[in-house]
Amino acid sequence: MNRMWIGLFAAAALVAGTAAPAGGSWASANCSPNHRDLTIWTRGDARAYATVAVGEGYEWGGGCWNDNDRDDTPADSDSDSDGGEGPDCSGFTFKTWMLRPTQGAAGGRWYDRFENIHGPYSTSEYRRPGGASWPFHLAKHDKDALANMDAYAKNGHIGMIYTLSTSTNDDYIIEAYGKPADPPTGVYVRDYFGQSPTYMPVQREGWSPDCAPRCTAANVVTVVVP
Amino acid sequence: MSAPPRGSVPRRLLLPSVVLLVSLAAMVVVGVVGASGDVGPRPEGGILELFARSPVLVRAGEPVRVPVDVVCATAQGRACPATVTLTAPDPAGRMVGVQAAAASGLSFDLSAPVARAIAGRASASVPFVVRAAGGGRTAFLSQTSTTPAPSRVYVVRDMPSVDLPVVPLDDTVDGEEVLFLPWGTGPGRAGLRPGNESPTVGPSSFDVGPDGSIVLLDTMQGRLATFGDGRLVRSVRLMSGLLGEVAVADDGAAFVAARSAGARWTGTVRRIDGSGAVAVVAGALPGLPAGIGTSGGGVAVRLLPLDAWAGLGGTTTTGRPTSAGELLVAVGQDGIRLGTVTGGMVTGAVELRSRLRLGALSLAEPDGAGGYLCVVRATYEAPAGNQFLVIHVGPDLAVRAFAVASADFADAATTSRFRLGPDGRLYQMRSSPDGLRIVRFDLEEVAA
Repeated sequence: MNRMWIGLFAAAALVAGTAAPAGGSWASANCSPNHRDLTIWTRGDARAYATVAVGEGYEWGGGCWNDNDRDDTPADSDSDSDGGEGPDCSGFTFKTWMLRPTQGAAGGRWYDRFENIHGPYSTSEYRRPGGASWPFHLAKHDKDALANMDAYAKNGHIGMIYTLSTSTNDDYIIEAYGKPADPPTGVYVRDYFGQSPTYMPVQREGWSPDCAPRCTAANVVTVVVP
Repeated sequence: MSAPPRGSVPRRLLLPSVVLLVSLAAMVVVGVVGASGDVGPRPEGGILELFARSPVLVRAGEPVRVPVDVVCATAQGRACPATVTLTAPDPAGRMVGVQAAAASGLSFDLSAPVARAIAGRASASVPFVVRAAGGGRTAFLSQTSTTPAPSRVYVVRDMPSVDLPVVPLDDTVDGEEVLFLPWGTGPGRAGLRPGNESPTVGPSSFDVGPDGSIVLLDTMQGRLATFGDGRLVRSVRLMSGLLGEVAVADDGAAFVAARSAGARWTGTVRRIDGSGAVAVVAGALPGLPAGIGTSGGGVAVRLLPLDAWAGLGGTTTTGRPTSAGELLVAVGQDGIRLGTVTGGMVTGAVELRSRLRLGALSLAEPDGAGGYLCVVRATYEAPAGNQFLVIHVGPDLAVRAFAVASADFADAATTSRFRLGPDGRLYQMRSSPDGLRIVRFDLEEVAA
């Protein structure tokens, strides 16, 4: 009987694939602070930052992940905050948007993906920003006014627009979706735009143009095919 | 209807910018496209992905633009430079590529090739292939380095426009409940994961079998469950968390299309036969499944971002194969375009203009008489809300529409909330805090 339990435990540990020491969590074994303040933050860099997280895990209240394209703590519960791999949806947005860790603070801060930080905003605060001084605001419900890395937020979830909408008007949303979805953090095709006002578009303030800091020309180009 | 430009910065941020039309002289003509390199879309720990939105169906004389977007990321999570090449027929008919640096707001203007194609014809199509290069890697819309079949823009000489009626918010038809499953665990319940800083997840898809049974992809319980007369008649074990789409063929076999395990942009189709045997019938489709349909004995899956319908044999088409032909659909926030391709020609092209902002298309089907049935979400500003519009447009352009409640407590695939049953009735998968319902609508009755 004992052998069976030992075997089951060993199998579970293998499945979990964690590098956690005894008594510690995956995050405590793998994550550490590493950040720097920013004066320039672009949609392009935010998207590049987020896309590296695709394939990683999901952890409620979490904010630390690696880049091995798999969930390192698949057996860890979604509903607690005990140091599993991955962000939750609001933490993912916080790090991707490079927000400051003080609620309402303007400016930008880059966080290493191994920094286990969720940030001070839950989805309800993204959905209802605290005031004009906050670093994000509700946007007009109009696709012409939205762009990559703007978000759709409701009470309980937030996801960011990844790229062009589809020919049937869905959006590619990059989001921490949660287990057991595969991937827990990934790009999904969703109609959050159509679910207004449950979901509302939210924009981060102060995006720098993608060409920053060396912008020399227009940033919208139409190429004519002969 | 013009498709909204996306992947661009908001207009208010464009004020300091100048829209630059790059002339032929500024373009780099890079020659005939072909498969290139042995590289994949995940270069050296970095990522290269390509997206484009085809206008699908245009009217002769309209400007034709294909917005293109490239995600190029280093392994460190920084944006990297990339180029995009769009290849289309030149005046001599040769496929010639035009290259530009990837940038926010980039689009290719295909007006000239489209104008040449439609000259002297009632309808035509223009093939094009888009390719991105960055970090020493190449990606097509299939998100692989292998050249896919060309995408196509269809052009018609005539495409009448019809205004959609505005159905007031909450002026909805209730329908008839044919199945109710409370949330929970067990054969007579539907699995639910309540969202808490994540979406609330319920069954992701359903379909109606040839015998009228309801086939439910119960995502959280990891099963494909069949219900007849409100009772469970069969349950087939699948993996938990499968955010797929299901379609039932005429012979009763169910097909489930979903993202392949561990993949970013690869799809898998499983066939579940009447005995409950599960077989993978397509294991590496080049794209994310986002729509499934059966026609006769065949099944086709819409793949994104290729934006093509693929049969199990790998053949792709722009429109969904149906008994009436290839069904073309394009949706923007201000309208819908529909058309049917038979023998390379587009017939029955129609534009439905909307004063309400539209969300995504949930269903489009030929009506068998030269018209179309479609379901799309419409949003309202004052009072704020959204509901689905069920629209029938006949070959005489008569439009009838009614609304049904969104009832979307749990997340589900956009194109899996509605199905047209073999009995000609419309079925909706609804979710609310108490459980999941399948509701049906008699289209003749509610539209009368």
